[in-house]
Amino acid sequence: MKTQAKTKKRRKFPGEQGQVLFQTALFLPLLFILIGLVVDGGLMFANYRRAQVAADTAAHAASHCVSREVFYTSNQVVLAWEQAVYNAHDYGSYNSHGQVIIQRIVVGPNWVRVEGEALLPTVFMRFVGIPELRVRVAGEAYPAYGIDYEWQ
Amino acid sequence: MDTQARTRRFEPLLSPAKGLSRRLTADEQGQALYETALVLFLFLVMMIGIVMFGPLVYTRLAVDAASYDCVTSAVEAVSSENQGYYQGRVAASRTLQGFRLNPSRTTVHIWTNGSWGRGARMVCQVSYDLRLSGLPGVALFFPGSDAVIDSQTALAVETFKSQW
Repeated sequence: MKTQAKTKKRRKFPGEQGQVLFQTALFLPLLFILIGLVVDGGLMFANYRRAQVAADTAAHAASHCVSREVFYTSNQVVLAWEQAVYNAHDYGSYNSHGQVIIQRIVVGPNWVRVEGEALLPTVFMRFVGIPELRVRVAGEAYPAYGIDYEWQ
Repeated sequence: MDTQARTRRFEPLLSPAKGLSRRLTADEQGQALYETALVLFLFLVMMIGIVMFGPLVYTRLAVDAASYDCVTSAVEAVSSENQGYYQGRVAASRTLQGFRLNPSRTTVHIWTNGSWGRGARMVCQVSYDLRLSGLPGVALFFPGSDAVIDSQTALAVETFKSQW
């Protein structure tokens, strides 16, 4: 009777072979998740910075479009709306390589604000159905007028 | 001593290969060590991959910042093209120095689309020669891992120089 139970126990737990492999198989998915978060987080942050540069340059380029007519007649710094919007789209898409969708350009009397959405592609997170993340980016710039020459 | 016991006692002498095989499969000493060695190799490759990844992202951030600073400085020169190129190069170099990267491994290209003038598109490209093979273990597992990381940013030459 005692021998039978011992044999049964031995069959159930045949030995200690493969223990580390078993533990590794158990923790490997956790490790992969951690590595995936590290890689995706790093890449997304780098892409986010690039998108922010695109928004900043879009606003900067738009801020160049000062209406000379208004300035000459009233001495006020006012942006030419159409040209400012065109410049913002042009430089925003050029600098983001198509990863920023410019959604809103607000042109004030002497400032311009560009708002957009950055598409941040993922590497590991796409395996769980998240191929990209969308993050809002915004850039602001202020135009200047009147300095024509260096050292002025 | 019965026959079975005698056979068991002299088995290694009678059949050395059979005895060794039985000892190897029955003795579990060092089993964990053996398996750990197997798994450790996989972990090592993964860890070196992560170690490689850090400098890659860091350098990309630095190069992006350098090209942005380069172009924003270059477009501020409203009266001289060469002055703009000079300002851009200096700005890119200073930014990379701020990131503790070696400026001697950097190439800065600045050009204007069409002829230079106010409102013209100026492009700044910063390339950095990243040597990852200097990191421990990288050359062993990832040969040819040195990479050139570049970033390009465009901006219009200032119509009128900003007050700053």
